[in-house]
Amino acid sequence: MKGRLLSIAFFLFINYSWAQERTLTISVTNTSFQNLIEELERQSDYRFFFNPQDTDTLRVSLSVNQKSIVQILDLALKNSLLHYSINTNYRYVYIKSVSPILTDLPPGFFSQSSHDSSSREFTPFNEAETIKADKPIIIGSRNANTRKDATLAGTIKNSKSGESLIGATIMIENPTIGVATDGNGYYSLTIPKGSHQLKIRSLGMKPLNQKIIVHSDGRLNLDMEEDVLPLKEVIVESTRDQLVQGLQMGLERFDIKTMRQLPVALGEVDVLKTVLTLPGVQAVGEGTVGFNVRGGATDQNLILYNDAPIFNPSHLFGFFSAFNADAIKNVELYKSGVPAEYGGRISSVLDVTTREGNKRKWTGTGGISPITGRLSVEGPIIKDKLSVLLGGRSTYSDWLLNRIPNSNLKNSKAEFYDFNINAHYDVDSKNSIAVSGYSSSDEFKLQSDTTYSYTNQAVSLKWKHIFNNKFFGTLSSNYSNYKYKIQSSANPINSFDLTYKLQQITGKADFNYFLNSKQSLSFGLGSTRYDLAPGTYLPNGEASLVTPDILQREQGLESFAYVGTQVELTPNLSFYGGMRYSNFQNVGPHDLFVYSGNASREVSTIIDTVTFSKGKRVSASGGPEFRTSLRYSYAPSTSLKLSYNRHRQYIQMLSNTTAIAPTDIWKLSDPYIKPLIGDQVSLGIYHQSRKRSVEMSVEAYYKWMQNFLDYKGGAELIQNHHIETDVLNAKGKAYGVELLLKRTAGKVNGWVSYTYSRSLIQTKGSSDIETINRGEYYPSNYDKPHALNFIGNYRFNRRFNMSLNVVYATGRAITLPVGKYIVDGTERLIYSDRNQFRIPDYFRTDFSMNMEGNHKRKKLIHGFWSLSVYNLTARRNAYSVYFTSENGVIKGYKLSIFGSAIPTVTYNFKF
Amino acid sequence: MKRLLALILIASACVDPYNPPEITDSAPVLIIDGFIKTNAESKITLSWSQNLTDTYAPTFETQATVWIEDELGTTYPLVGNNLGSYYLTQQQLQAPRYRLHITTADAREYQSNFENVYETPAIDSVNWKLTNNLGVAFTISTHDNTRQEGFYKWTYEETWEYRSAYAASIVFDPTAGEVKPRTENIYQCWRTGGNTDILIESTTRLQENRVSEFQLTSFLQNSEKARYKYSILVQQQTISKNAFDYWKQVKQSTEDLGTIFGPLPHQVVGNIKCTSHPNQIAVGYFSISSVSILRESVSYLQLPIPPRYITQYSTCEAYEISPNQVSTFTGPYLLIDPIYIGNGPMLSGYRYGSYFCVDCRFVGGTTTQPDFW
Repeated sequence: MKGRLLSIAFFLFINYSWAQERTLTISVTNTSFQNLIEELERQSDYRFFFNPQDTDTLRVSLSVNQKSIVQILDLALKNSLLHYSINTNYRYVYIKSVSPILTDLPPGFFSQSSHDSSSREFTPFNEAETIKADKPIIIGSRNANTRKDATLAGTIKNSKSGESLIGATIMIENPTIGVATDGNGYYSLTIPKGSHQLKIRSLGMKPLNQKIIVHSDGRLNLDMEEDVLPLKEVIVESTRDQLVQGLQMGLERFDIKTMRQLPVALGEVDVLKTVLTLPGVQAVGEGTVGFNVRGGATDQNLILYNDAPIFNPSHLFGFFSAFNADAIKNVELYKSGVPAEYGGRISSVLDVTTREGNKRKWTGTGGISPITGRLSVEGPIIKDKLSVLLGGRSTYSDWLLNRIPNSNLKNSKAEFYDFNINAHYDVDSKNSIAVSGYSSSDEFKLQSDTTYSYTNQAVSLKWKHIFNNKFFGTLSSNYSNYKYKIQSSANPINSFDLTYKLQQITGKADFNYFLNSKQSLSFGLGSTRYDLAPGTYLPNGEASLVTPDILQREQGLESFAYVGTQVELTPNLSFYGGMRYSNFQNVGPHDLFVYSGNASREVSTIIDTVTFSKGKRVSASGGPEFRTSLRYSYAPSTSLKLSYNRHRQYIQMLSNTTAIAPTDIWKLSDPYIKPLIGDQVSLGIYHQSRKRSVEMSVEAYYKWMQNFLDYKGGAELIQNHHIETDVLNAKGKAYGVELLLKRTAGKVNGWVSYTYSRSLIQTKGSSDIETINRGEYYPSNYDKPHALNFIGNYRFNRRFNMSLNVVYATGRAITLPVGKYIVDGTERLIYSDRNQFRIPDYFRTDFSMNMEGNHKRKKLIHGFWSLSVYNLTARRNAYSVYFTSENGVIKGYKLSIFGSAIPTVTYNFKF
Repeated sequence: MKRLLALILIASACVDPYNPPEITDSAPVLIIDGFIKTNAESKITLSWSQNLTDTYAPTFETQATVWIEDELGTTYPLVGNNLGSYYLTQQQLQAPRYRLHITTADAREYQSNFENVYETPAIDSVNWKLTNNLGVAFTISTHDNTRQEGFYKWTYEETWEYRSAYAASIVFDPTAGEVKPRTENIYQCWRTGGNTDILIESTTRLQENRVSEFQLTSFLQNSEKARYKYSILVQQQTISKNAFDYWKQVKQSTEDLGTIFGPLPHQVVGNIKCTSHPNQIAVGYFSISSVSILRESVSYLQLPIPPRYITQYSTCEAYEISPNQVSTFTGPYLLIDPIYIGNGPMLSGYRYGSYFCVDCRFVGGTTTQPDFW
């Protein structure tokens, strides 16, 4: 604010208590307000204070003769929203938009219903950070039609970079109507005509309050200013109102700035590590990127990177997630109440959206930590129209390895990189196109001659068209692939190459229609084609005697259509009803083994092979998936939500290890491996304190999972031509309660969450070999009943903050030996029933400090340091417990991934 | 894989000893160890499993009735030695399939599935080679043209010569209270051991039924085994695919666990069931086949001589006792040799050392030279 109106809070004044003095004569035609003031100052001894932003569009035509300054100002400001106050002692005149400067009047004292100059608004002083765009924006023409409501639509953008803002909330308070922007920053809001104060909130942005006068439907694009201090009051302005007033439950949303505050291992801001701090999300151990949401398996999470699914979201065995944090704009995790547009996995949706790139100028960000380096550059190709963002990340761990003086490491290597490119093009006000590409790759070799490598690639293309203010659609297509390779060259006779490959391509159309202020509709349809080459085992080198062994390819087609509607039944009661219909076909060419009727499926019970030709249907399955949510708010700050969801999943990961391993195989549903079906009922109570800085919630859920995969003991999953003989059909159930207490504002903020949850499996086949633990329910590998998380941030000043993270969880369930015996002169073990014991409890404390450089705007490079210590107490948390026979004697061991405190210093920069 | 972690985190990952909470509810399980050889005497040992924390020797099932039978019902009893081992002398076993039957002393009945009789091919070679990390590795190669794919299990018996720290030439006779020349050799010993891991290999992924240089065992070039002579006797056995899977699982569930991507441990089920008590499990896999054996040895003359051998005797020390005190010589010590003043014949004393350092039998070897030496 460059104006002469300074610190308004300290002025007391007397309005209209002014005796008549000198009269003035003014005659101007269509002149600027500035000119009028200059004229008044010339003729009188008054000094005028005003904000030029409030007045720069005001044109004045005035012809007065011998009038007092009061009369002149009354006339001049009659048709504007400006107010004046006069201090006769100092001969000062203050001109301010809308509200005259008030002190103690309560909110609601003034009517907000009309838009004339008498309309006043109470602005609490503690919102001094708020940008007051006080000049009202007039939308539509006054005489457009006689409807009571009008629809406002547009895009909310970051003023600095021109990027659209996802999940920004736009609301008016009288009556309370609000919406959030979608994935493209687009919103559509239907409100009564008239004058309103629009409140726009978005994470990491300065709150924006915009006065509007709505005459008829219209477009309103707004820019929000970035909060220059990203470390300030990070956590979730936008979801503040969302938590209680939104219909959505079980949704966690955070942006890169939230993530940056959390202490991290190995110096990288990590999406998946942040997800793990949320209630209801757990991992089997450290160094694993696979996560379990509410008792679901790691493959039951749909991980989307700009709409394209990512199959192995980890680097370096899970020490890093495969997403470059610099490119990320927003992350959403749906634990329940998943809207109908998402489908394909039964447990959760993790939707990672990248930034569009700065549309106004070229900038870059980067960081250097002891293990990785990263750099992103973004900028406009056509200003305000077309932007690109390029980012890359790589490790120099390989270089480090070579420097460790240990001969065992000589033959080892571990390297990864990822690369992303995004382009966003605003064709015109109705059309925009976004393209995104992603590639990540890992390769490692462990003091042996076997090299493991894997890659994830994803491309997505999206065209958005706005038909009108109430209706828009998105046409998109995405492609992703995942492959891994194991290459052995130890012995020329046995050298081999083993590859696995999965690709999928999706095309879909999504539409949103805002019927009125009370109801919106979304619908769409699409189809996904899967193509898998589940195993190609080939000789490597001339001397190799390896028999080529190629598993037959698998093809599948998943089609879906959905419709969902959100209705506000009464101001207190909202409802979301959605239905998704999905259908999956496993199609030929395919050779299918047929097993004899009653016997359990084993190689010896194969009685026939049926051949399906190309395109022939091998199996089909599908059905409706209902998604519903209900919100009832029995007080403005308290609400109750209820939801029921069903999901179907047609591709599952086969894994006989605890963590996601690079050799895990994804398998399509077929006549033997039935699609997973998950149902979840959840109930939550949400409360916000009066100042909305403290949130409390309790969510409870119960889940049922059908056709869960379990494995026979010692199941062989790699290069298995008849995988159905090694897997078992199981049922799963999970239930739990999540308690969350969160402070979102102030110098001290953070959250505490406690979760009680169970995740159980029942495997009850027709024969002994197909039954586990006599068919009783047993805990899954990731069953951890008690979990407590604490995250606290303390901001010393604008440049320095500290945070502390404490995690406690019950040890996961494992199978332990209950007896021993000697065979071949060596002690061996007899194991218990599956998962009857637990590893020791998990406890970890992390600490981090972020230090920013000064905030001079014109600096070439803005740098900030972050220092973190992971596992501050150096507790050796068990990753697993195992028993092994060494020189004929059984010994028990506990494997810890992090055996000490791990300090890391990272330098991040922006230019 | 845990080595890998250590390497990535720069020695951050770690493995600590761990003792689980008391596991009490384990009823003993019958353990069946051994298989039937068609071309040699066979031995099957029966014992009961123990709790993990038990330190005493396992209990053997000494009073069982054990036999094998063919599909026509002809039975061949195994003769017990009252110590838990049951023997079947070499005899003509011409039926295609046999099964094992056991009745324990407390009248539990155990029975295996019928198993095919396998013919084991001859061992092509057992070789030793020097390895990169200053070791000596023994490998085996074999092939079988009669069968498409082969599943092999090996066991070996290793024997090596070693010598105690000091060659004792005298002995103290406590009854006479005097020093006498030692007649018996307690300096040069031979020690015998066996494999302590499960050695199995399959050729399913190869175009030929051929095993090439499968590593059986290795030791360091400066270790005791490399000091004089080392000999290994390898026994090869062809097993069924199911038996291979069984042994692989046993191996995995005891040797390969706990790694990051390692498989989950589980109960391993063999081909022997308790027919009288279906809820009881039994551990073991009954196989029947011929065996082929081959011996190979290596002497220190064939190996690079290291700067220094590191043996169990590396820390041994000898002490001295004067001739007039020798009558009081007691404790866990043995005399080594006399010490003379200058070139003699004046005696200045006797050297002595601990039993461990002087008597090579103390660590478990024998002074009897094996007949194959």
